[in-house]
Amino acid sequence: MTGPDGTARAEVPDEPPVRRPRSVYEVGTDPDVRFSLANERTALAWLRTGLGLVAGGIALTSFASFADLSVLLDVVSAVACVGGGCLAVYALVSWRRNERAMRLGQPLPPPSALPVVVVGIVAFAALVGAYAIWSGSTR
Amino acid sequence: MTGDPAAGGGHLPVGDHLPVGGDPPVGDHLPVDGDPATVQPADAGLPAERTALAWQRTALGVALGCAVLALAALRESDPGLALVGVLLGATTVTGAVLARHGRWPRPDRRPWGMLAPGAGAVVVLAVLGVVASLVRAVR
Repeated sequence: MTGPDGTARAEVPDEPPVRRPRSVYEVGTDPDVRFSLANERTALAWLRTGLGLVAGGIALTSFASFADLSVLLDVVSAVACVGGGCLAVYALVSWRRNERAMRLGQPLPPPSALPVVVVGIVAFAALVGAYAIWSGSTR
Repeated sequence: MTGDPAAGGGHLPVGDHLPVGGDPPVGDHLPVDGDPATVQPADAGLPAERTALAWQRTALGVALGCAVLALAALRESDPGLALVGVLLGATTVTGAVLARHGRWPRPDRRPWGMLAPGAGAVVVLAVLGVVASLVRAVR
């Protein structure tokens, strides 16, 4: 390529667009694309777990309304919705953490929310089960 | 579904990014149009398709959650909450369709540009669920 005066001009390559979030893509190097996609699917799986809790909570309060059940179930469903919202946020945090670790060649951090989810779901099941037994015995 | 692997289409550069040293897996490069000289990387394991399906399942889950919320709100004679649920569901479906056709978000904003709104939708749904539960509990 030549300039207006006929002298040679170095070609300036187009700058690639900056990928977001910068806190992830400005460190390290791109990992195998399959690993990035797997990380994305893992985040989506967490998101769907949270969504399941939210939908379960909404369904529970709807059912409680339909069957005219105790207010206790509304409290349980509100807690389930809060837990689901927290899991959605965790999905974002864990995606970012894992992607950074892969880009930096570091070991992946452990899924810190997993024990909490297990305990929470067991507690949720125990609460609903206790309510079922209690309401059955008082009839 | 062409070109961008993150959008769920195209072929991944599998042969260029082997996770561990060694030979490429069998079938990693397939001849195109019967010409052995023309090789194209195969999408081994179809991770892009699996990721696209995971996105679709997530969007479907959010839309169904919104539908459950809208029905619960209508049952409680709360048209405002039902309207918000319907709007959130419609926004989610619109986003899923746009993403499916590669019109949103920009390629340099993926996957964060989809993960963050997806998680945001679940958080909003969770807040609406808490509101629905508490409204019923107060009544």
